[in-house]
Amino acid sequence: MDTACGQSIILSSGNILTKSIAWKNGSDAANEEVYESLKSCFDGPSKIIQTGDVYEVFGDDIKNVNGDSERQDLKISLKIFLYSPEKGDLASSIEKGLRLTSSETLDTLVVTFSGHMEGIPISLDIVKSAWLILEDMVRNGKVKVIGLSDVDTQLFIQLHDWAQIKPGIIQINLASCCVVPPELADFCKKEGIQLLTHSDPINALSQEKINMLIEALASHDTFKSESSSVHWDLKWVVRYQVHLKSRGVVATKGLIDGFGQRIKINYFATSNFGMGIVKWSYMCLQAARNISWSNT
Amino acid sequence: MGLLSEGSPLSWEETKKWANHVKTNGIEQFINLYKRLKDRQGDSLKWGDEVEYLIVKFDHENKRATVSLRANEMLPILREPENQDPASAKSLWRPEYGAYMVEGTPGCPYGALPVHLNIVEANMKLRRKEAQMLLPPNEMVLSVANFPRLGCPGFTFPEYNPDTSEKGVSMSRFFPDEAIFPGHPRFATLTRNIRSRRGSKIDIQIPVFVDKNTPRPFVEAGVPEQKEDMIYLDAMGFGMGCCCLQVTFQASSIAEALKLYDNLTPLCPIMLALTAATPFYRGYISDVDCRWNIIAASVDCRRPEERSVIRKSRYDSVDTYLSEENSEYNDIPLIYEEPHYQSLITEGGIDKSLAKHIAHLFIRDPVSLFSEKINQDNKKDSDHFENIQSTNWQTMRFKPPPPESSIGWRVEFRPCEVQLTDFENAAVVCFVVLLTRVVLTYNLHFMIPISKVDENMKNAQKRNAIATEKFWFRNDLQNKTASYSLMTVNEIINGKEGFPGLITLIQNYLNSMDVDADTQCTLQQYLCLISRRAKGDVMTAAKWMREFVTSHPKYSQDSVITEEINYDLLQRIATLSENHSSTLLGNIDPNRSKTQDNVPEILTR
Repeated sequence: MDTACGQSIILSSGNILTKSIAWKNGSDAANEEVYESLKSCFDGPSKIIQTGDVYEVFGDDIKNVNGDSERQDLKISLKIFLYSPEKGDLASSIEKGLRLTSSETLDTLVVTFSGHMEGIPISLDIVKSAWLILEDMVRNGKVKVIGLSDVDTQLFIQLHDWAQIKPGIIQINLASCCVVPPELADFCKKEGIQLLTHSDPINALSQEKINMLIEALASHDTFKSESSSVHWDLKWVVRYQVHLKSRGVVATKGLIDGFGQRIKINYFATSNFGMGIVKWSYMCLQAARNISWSNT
Repeated sequence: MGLLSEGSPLSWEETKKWANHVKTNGIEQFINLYKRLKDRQGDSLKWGDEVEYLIVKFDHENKRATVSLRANEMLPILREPENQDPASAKSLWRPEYGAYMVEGTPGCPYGALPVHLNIVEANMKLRRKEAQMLLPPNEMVLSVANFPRLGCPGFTFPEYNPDTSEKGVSMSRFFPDEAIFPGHPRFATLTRNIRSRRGSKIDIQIPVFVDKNTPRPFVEAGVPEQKEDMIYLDAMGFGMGCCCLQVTFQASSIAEALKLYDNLTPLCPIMLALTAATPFYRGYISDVDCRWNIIAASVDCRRPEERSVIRKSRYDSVDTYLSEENSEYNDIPLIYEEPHYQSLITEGGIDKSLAKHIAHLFIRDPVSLFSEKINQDNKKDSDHFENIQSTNWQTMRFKPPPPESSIGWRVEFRPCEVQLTDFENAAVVCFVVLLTRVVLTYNLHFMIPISKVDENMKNAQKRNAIATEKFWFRNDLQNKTASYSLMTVNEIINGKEGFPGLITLIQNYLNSMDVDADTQCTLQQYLCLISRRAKGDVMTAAKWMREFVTSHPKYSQDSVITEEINYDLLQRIATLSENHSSTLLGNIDPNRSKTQDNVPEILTR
């Protein structure tokens, strides 16, 4: 399906760490967090920069993401919630993440296959296809360690066998941390793979939340006129985290959402560097507007 | 443990003469330390715990339990690994006040990653095992805050009689001098000098728990000093012979150390209530659940005429926040000597709040002094500073880097009572560590006026305070709005409308860290325990022990813990790790915690 190039909107929001949205618990909270973070960047005062087809919307508190810390003291991680099977989308989500982290390299990059036909297990081919992009990133020196999230044990082992650059991380959901499938635990131990937990829902944004966000965007002055012909598909959501290595402190947490409308909404969070601890949340919605050939 | 300089302790008369010398030079030593190290940055988060244990001997035939005065015999053996190769020792051992006590810490401090939290319990188990291996079959290492029949006739093995004469160190009716650790002169010296300075024996009066058959008034024959309805204790050993649980953190800079100190200060009473484990004294059930006031009174060196001016014993909760920005919360009068304060400000260039704190520590006279340590090079040595610093025992301790070491600025969190099992001790310790990470990650503010923290400290020690008391707590942790209100421990820990609760903050933090599955599993067990304890779903150690005693078939509802009850209680405690108590832990199975003794290398990359 040709998602014709439409306009892209990139939303950058503020620091999740210091906002009260950080205070809730559980996976509902994660959904809320993504939604609220994204919404907040065009809710209040915001700055919009347009470059061709790309609109970047910045919430009002952008600062240098990495503050005063030396790069070697930081651990920069990206997690991509991939909604689109297209390689181009995955590649652009990673590039966006890199650009917004003001860093040339990422320490870790993990992909989860979200919103991907709920209930239908993901196919090895789709994972392999995405994995090739990840391997390129490692070869280009842009990422050090690549991994996956929420894939079943067998698929993971098969991928591991096939891959040229092996996964260094697998993430499983927090709820199952005390009942890790023994096969997975043993495999990770044997192969030296980090077995980490997360409390993210598979879908960073539920369909309901996506719709709410689109509606809210559509009523924003800049984008009002476009709304009538808009069809939105969420492409990807990226979350970016920076940790200060020796301190066990989260420095930055960012979320980036990519909507299928090629409207990229970067949720970009800044934080308080007072004690060198910052959490940034990025949300980048890459939405592709499905403009029918006959209209505007 | 405190300062363990070797050497010859001076008598009290001699020590008195050197008081000004120690104080003046101690202040100068701090100034030198401060100037040299105030700009030190970048130290990593390292931290460690300290657990104190009792050695208990069981006489199964007669159903008696005593404290075993074996520490002096055990310590040289326990310390062999660290003496031979400190870098590889898995644990470090130190003496404590009681000849029946040992204190263990991890061999290496723990690190900054979440995965380091997963080794705490395993290390604690290792320490317990190390000590246990040295004991004969009928003796056990137990992490009990207080031996319930401490001070009762024949409570020690070997048995000794108390020496009430002038020659005695404690001059106690109940606590023999042989129960004081003999392997280092510090403890006996402190005991004698504190008693000499105050001009009388230690005088501790604890309200007895009045039960159905408790005689009214409750009066002990042959104990004229006892006040009506009080349990009377008359020695330093009754306080310092209790066991506690401490955590020390290294901060990346002095500013971070001050920030941690200030934010942890209001948490002290909450953690005290949560870890309450000391309901019994000298064979009686008391009406308090915590050891804090008892220890405060056990080393109270104030003379009668000083007590209205100097409001607290040298062992008690802190009197001031340390960062300048928190000085608005310092609302109790602080006593200090003006010349000391002026030196710190002008010579040291130290900020006012910190200067006042240090000067306030120095109102206390030295109560132990070793002849070899009198003359010092103030640029290199810091024994005079440490002398006063280590005999101010407060809820928090701010520790400058020791001279000529790679250790940075540190903060010690001191209010917790030791818990009965390693699982619980690890849970408490990890909870406190996670709170520090949460404070720093989210830039939180816990401060409330010091007077309110003091009020909380009083209330935290009441029987069942965790369920029945409310505590002043800050409403808005993120902002500068300094309002505070009364909350229950449950609300503070588990949250309420408009207040997230400490557990939620920690969960949020963990969600943003890379936590491996095993560590996550362990931490969730710990958080579950803390949460349930705060809620009242499971009991504190104090409540659990009270229940055990009061429902014992031989208990006569007279507040008395007989030999047999004592024996049965300690036997039950001894088997807790294999045979969990559902009232203490609920349905949490401590064996589900995935604690392990080392950090997998892949997780440190």
